[in-house]
Amino acid sequence: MKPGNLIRLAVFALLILFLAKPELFAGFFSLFTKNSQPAIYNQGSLLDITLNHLAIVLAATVASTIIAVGLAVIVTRPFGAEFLPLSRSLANVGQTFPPVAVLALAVPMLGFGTAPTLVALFLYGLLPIFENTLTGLTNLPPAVTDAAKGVGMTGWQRLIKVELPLALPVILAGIRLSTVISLATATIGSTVAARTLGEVIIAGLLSSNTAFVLQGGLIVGVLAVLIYDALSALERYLMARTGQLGRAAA
Amino acid sequence: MIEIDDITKTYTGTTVVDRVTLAIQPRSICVIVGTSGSGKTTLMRMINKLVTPTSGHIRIDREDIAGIPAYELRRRIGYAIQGHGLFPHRTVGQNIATVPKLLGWDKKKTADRVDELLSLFQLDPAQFRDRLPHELSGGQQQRVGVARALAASPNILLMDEPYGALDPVIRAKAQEDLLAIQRKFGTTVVLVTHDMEEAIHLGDTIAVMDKGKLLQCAKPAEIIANPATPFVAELIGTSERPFRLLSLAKVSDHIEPGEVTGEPIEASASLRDAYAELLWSGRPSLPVRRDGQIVGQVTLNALSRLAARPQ
Repeated sequence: MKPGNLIRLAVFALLILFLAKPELFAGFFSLFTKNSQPAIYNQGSLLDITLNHLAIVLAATVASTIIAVGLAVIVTRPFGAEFLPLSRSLANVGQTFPPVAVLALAVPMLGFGTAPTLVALFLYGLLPIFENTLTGLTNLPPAVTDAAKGVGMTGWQRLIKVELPLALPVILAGIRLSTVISLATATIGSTVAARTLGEVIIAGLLSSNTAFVLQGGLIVGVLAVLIYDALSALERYLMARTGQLGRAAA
Repeated sequence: MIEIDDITKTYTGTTVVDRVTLAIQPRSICVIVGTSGSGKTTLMRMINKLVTPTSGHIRIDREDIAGIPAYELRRRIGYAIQGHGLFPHRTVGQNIATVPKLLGWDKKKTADRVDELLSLFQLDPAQFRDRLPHELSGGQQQRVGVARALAASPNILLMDEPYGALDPVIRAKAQEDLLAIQRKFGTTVVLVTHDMEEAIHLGDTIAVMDKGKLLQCAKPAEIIANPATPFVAELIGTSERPFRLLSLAKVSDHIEPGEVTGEPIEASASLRDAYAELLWSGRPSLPVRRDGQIVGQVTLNALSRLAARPQ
């Protein structure tokens, strides 16, 4: 096993251990507390909060993927080509809106809790996946798309059997970007009472407890790095399998 | 029989193919030759509806292809292109099985056909069936590309500069394979190339195109002897003409009686090879060998007469 993977495995093991038995790390985190503040977050189980955080990110990313890939497929078909500029600007708007603003706008409609956070993450995740799917579907090797037509595949057969499988590594790169952005952005959801790791950070900021801030931040950071690396590895595997290692991934 | 009837293709004011009429006989090889931009590829791509003509008709066995759905027509016509166009994420076997699968053949029949074609192209099925295209050499990829085009035993095979990316040794081998396969299956082949040498070697008829117009369509010997326009003559290469003419015939057709000694030449060799050997070895005649037996001779005098312009 390569040293990089060993380190990743060790970090993952450490994360699991910390989530399962945080009190084991009390000694370390008490270095960052003053005036006998609690060293470990004590207003809920860190494991539960982390799982909830991941669930929200997963749900939002799955929804973004379905909509973004679907849109990109439609606008790259002959009948949908007219909507290409429109859909691009829609996805761009989703990206330029600050997540805090989305939360503020969504709360009156959806109330406090998980729902407005999901909406914000969903909108935020659309653009990278949409752009990458477009890139993947429009930059296929011309000889291959020509051959797919020439052997007599119908439009949908070409899409399912040739275009999507070949674009998959590039689409996956978009999903990876979107997931990592969502992992970080989800913490803001705690300002509208979504149960995410932001809760731990906010609690730390309110009580000037650096240990809490560190715990929340570290868990999010480590999760982001591990998920990013895992998805990158999957992309590289898919690229190598199809002999396209030379093609650039965003 | 493919009948191309007064076909024109215009792209926003530019005429790419200009009123071309051409009949391609069944079970023959028709090579369309031209420089790049001559419209030769566009003309070929109209046969399987990858390009829609602006006006004119194309009939295959007297049926107008305008009335056949494009995907259905294409499954009946083999299509092999430069750079092979293999699906990089599918194995060699899956690539070859593409059209049989689209046509709904059962698994057993498809698998048998894949193995048959791999063997035909001298690729061991057990060794190559499950490999991915990028693990093959250029020559092997090209053979798999042609095998895929032939998978559903089409009557017609379209080839767009199929050997353009191959080195000369592998190209010569691939051309021999094509001739053998065409003879075996009786496929009608339409092949596009810019290489006159290749056209003369492979074609039963040669169609020369320039600037969208069909300049001449005739047998190779006729094209060499009587080029219709100066452009056709230039494409053949005036200094090459006698040698091209010799390359069309085999030694076996011009054996003379007589005994000579020295290194023999095979009866299956082309006259051009025999001529080169005569000049190179400085001999006036060569013994001819067929199946290991000396059957006569071929002489420099006879070849010189054959290389002269036909009257």
